[in-house]
Amino acid sequence: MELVNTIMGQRQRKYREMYRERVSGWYNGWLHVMIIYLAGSSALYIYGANTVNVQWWEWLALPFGFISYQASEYILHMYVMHRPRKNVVLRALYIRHTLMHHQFFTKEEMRFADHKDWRVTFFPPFTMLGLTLLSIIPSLAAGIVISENVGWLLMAALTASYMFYELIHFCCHIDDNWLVRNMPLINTARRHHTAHHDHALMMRVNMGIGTALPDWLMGTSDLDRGFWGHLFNGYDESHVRPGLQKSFNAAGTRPVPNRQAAERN
Amino acid sequence: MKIYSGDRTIDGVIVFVNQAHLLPDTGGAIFSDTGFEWGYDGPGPRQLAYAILIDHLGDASRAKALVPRFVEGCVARLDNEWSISSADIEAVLNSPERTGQRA
Repeated sequence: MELVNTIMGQRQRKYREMYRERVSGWYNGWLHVMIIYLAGSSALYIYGANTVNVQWWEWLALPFGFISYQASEYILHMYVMHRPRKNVVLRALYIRHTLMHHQFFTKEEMRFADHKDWRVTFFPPFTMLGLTLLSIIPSLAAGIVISENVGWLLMAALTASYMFYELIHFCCHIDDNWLVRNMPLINTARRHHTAHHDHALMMRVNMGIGTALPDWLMGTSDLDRGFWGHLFNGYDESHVRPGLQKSFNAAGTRPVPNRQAAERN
Repeated sequence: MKIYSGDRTIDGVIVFVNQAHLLPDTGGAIFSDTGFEWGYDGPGPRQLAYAILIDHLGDASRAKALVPRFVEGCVARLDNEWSISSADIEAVLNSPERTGQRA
């Protein structure tokens, strides 16, 4: 199954066909998502049920954990998923992301054709287990050093932040509609992530997926805006940094500015 | 004149020189032992620049010296799939050094 109304080129079309041929026939995207969110929701219930008389300052573990996950995801994306590594696990992440996800989806065609295409976007179901195991270390430390509530809340925040990431990334690859176009944060993420899927930029810019803020902080955003602009930019293209999209022009060895930048200049 | 081309495929990164595979260990894996990459400055792109320059110049020490310049002027700017000629390489090596800002 493939999209009918699409501007994707032949290369992308062939890649998607090849990828689908290699995906197991029994794969079911709905089952994949159900496993992730059932496991995540169950974990959140357990973590919440273990908190007792939470003090106001203990709630700060939630934003801290949420931001920590988003920062970690940025680092993983920037330094592992787009950079080949020797380590087998890290290299698998690079292959799955740069050589699969980014070839399957380009800025010309970002959409799934159906639920079987979700496999190339969601992390495998066992990711939740891995994340939980990784979260235990800082959460246990926080539980011992600060308070038990902080430990449980930190676990909850890290899990919720991962679920948020998956939701946002999923929303970046669905068809445009009124809801995603007007929903704050989601509309910003959609434009930000589509720009990241520009093959001329994908190795360098817009590595934050759940939020564009790490890119703003680290100077890897395609936008020339501040904190609030990065949070609520939406679909606005008027703040894209001019001259950013420079790919090698074999004919003249000069960078080729993108059309928008050229028009502005 | 030689034509160098590269692509990211489902089975890995491939680079050709006139239809023949250009191997990542051309001249030794001195910048990276994880293969070629491009589109940014790092070990993989430097290894690609080194392999192309050795093939183009036939001089390993000169190739190594010119790697930073060639990465900045060409390899870090290559698109997902690309093709360059010997003349393009010469043009990059003979062009003024860039000081432009990149993300």
